[in-house]
Amino acid sequence: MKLEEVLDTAILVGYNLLRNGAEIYRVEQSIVYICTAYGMQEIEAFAIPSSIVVTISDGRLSMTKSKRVLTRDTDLDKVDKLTDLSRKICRELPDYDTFKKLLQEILNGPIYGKALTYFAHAMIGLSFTLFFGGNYWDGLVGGMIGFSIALLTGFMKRLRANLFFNNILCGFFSAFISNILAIKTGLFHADKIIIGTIMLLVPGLALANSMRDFISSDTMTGLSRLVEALFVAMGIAIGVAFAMKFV
Amino acid sequence: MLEELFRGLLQCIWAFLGSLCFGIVFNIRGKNLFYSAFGGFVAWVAYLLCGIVVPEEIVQYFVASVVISIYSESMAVYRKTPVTVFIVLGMVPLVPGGSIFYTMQHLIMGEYQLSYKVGVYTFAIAGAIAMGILIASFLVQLFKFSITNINQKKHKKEEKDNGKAL
Repeated sequence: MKLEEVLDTAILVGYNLLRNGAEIYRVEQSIVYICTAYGMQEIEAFAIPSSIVVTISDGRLSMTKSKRVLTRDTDLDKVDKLTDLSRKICRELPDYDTFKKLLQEILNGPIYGKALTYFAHAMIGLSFTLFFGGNYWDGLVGGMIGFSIALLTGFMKRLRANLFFNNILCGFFSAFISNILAIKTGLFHADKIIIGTIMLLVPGLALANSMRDFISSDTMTGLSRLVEALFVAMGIAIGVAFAMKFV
Repeated sequence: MLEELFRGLLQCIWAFLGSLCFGIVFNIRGKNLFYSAFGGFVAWVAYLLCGIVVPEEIVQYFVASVVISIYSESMAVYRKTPVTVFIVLGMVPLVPGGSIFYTMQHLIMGEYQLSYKVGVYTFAIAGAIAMGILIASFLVQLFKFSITNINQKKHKKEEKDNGKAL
């Protein structure tokens, strides 16, 4: 493979790993391993959650490429498959076209259907309402709110609203409905329902990842993810607070 | 006693179910989905079991997060899958949603003293969980390092012996 093809291969793998929610050290390591496997010297890979910069040299010429990572979501199946791919590349050293085909196969990989995802959201609302000590009626309401949050988030995504506003809205919705139901009927525990449904929005992945970034001494990434998580938490808090003042 | 056991078990099952559904949202597929959701179950079992010995929430959260980190790291080796897949779902039941919410509720009600109290407590829980992850990851890294080191030393010794034989 030529210098630029190696660079492209490495950065594409790194970009897709980062896009789908891998840790920073995994991204940087994959890039370094792939370039080393193709016999490059002087590999400098630098990644933060929003961009990647890689410089490699074949001893004569050197080349740099940077890639911005604008949208990110969590698709852990793809992270798993991409990690396998980068191991495979290091083992078999495929040429550029074969690599492209393999990558495309992974990117077109299966995702769960829409109906199942909505159902999963409802089940999360239900399970965690019960988990935090609500009764079965609370669970039912929690399930319905979870389902509505899924719909709401989908709608906001289509509007391209930012995440902060989405969290405020979802927090507000959850607290508003459960408070009204609790006051009007007296059958439900509003606090248990709110806690259970908010679990859908809480940035668990960002928090766990930021801790793991701190461990592998990627302090920049750790900080940026921590702040991201705090902002999400703040959005939820503002939404819930509004609703509780309102009712 | 029996009733308490039943309630604890039920809670663990809800934790498992919640983690499983989070796995679907995060698009984890195949057997990994089951193994990683089982992490949520393990985390809450560890939490409750620790509660029998040391009934203090902060210690319980710490122990649970150590257990889940070790579970995830070993599962990652066993299933040849990135650790994130397991750690994310395992951590889900440990998110201290309740005390975050009550902090805010007290704040809105104007009970600042109480809010401060619960808030600091929440922060302590979050710190305990973070410390748990940190310590467990460090232990696992140490373990891996020592294993590779021993293997390398063995290898070198064998090479040396072979050299002598030749």
